[in-house]
Amino acid sequence: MVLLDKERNLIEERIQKIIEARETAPSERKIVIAGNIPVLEEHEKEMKVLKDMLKIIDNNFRQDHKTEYLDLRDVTKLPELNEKDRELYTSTDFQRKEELRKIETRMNGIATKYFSPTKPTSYQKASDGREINTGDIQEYENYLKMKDILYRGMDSNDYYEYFKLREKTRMVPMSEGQYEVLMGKTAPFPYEKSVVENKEEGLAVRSPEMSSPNEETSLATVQSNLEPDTNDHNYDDTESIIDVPNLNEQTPTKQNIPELPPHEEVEELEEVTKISLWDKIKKHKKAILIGLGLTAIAISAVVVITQLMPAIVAASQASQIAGLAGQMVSNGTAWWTATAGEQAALHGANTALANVISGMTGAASNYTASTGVWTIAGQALPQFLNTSIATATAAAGKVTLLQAGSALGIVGGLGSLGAGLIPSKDRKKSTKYYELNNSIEKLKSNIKSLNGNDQTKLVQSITNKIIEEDNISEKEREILFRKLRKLIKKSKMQNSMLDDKSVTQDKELTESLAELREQNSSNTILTEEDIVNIERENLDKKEAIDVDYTVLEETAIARSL
Amino acid sequence: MEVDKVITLKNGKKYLLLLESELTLEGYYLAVLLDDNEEPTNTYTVLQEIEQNGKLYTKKINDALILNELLVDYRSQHEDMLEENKAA
Repeated sequence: MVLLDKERNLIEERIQKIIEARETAPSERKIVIAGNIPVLEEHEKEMKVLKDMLKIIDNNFRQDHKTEYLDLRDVTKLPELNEKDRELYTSTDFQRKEELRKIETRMNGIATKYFSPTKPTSYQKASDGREINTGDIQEYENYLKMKDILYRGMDSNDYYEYFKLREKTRMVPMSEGQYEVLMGKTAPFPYEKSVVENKEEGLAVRSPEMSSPNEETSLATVQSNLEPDTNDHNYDDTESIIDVPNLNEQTPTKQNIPELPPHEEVEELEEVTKISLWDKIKKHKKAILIGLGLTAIAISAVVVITQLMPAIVAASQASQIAGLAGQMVSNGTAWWTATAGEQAALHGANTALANVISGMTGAASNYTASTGVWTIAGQALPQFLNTSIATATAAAGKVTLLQAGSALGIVGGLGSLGAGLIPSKDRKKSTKYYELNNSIEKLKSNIKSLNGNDQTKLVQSITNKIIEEDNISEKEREILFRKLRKLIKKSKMQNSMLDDKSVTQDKELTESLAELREQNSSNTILTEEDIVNIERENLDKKEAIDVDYTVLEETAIARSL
Repeated sequence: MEVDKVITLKNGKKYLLLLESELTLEGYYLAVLLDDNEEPTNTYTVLQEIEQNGKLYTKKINDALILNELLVDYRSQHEDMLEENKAA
């Protein structure tokens, strides 16, 4: 890593110089945003390239083609590399040495658990003779096989043998292009990951009895592709992080680099080609799917935050633990309405959550199959949840997390720092919110049968109510406006396909809504009750109205001020 | 994009949209990847809805900080749903 560390330092120094150039430049010089950092226009391209180079280094020097890094480097004003170094940055051997080093780091991470104060209780002898934690033995064996392939110069009958083994570990995923660089030869055919995954694994199912070491991999599938696992804190930071491009941009290279909101990268977008109905969903099934999804995302979020921001984690860990325990309780609730297969999946999800909690707290978690009861740190799950919420609340009171967050330029508030993982027990919305939400839902279900004028009147009525209601929070008001806007937008899209006349009417409506905004808070133009008796009729092409939802947005902002 | 609908991306992947975030002005959907038989897999993600030049796009949200923010809202919706199921 000496070479790459040296390279990183050079890049960071150059970034610093570019920032200093902007800071000391005369005020009339044009400033642009590059890589989320304000720079002089002349440095825009170079700054973006430098950020891309840092990303490559952060991702263990993985490149999409052999000279990607060098090509980028040539655009910058960094000192030139000598021929020997250029070879190292491009050669497959270099990539393989790096890969081997990462594997050995991970193997050591697993093996040294034996010496940690919270060491696991069950061990097995791996094929290299080392005593390995039972839960990690399968991954450890995969590393041994991968090392063997690397020593053989990647010689294998199956081009993707190494790739498949690697996917079963917690190493940062590797793209096919990067794998080609590592292999030093072109792939004979594309790797169809999703097909293999779905056929082999399906919905992750794990019953309490399925606790043999060979099945630890299937347990890990519950954590979804967003994972990795948190249990091994011995791993070095860069290798434990899942591939999160935006986070690289948000991690300050130097403390004094100002951070701005991330901008959209067009190349990350996937076009939606079709939207269709899914008729298989049942209410309880959906609740379970959501529970599993939230489990996966919660684990993913905790893992990445833990690895990227250890200082903040120290303060917010209590909240995270409470959040994970809360998710376990939710999964337990869903269990009662689940089918046998879903129950097993939920149990698997809770096993994964319990593992993360144990990893974070050092406390043992235990499941008693005969009673179906989880205990963590010697307490039944509900008690543990209450204890952890109390701890988290106390911690939040002591630490000014919000300030810490804004000092780092992190988006959001307490939620960003782990409090978002606190279960939403006390975050229920107000009764008035639900009443207004109900009105929007009613409008949603009836909108197709209302003509343009009636749609407008009803929207006006609900808008007034949202504006005037004092018993909802500003956040709730914002949510309701968002729902209303979305509904109008949808209606707008439908109507815009009907007739060009809508344009004229749109203008008229915009003007009328603008008038409404001026009058708002004191004069309610129409009440919802007034609307109840409006005669419904089929949507008439000529009556179609294009509502300008931006007017409503402005209204919402005006009210919140 | 709407909850309970399946979106098909240009790369052929299909996602069922389970929940929409009400947290911000952006549309963030908790989604599950569907297999060839349109059955849910164990791959979950959060997709952001983006409109550009009249076309609809999605962007996978991997940023742990944003995911963390969204969790509060998603959890609240999920708990409401569980309560409704219980009452039914």
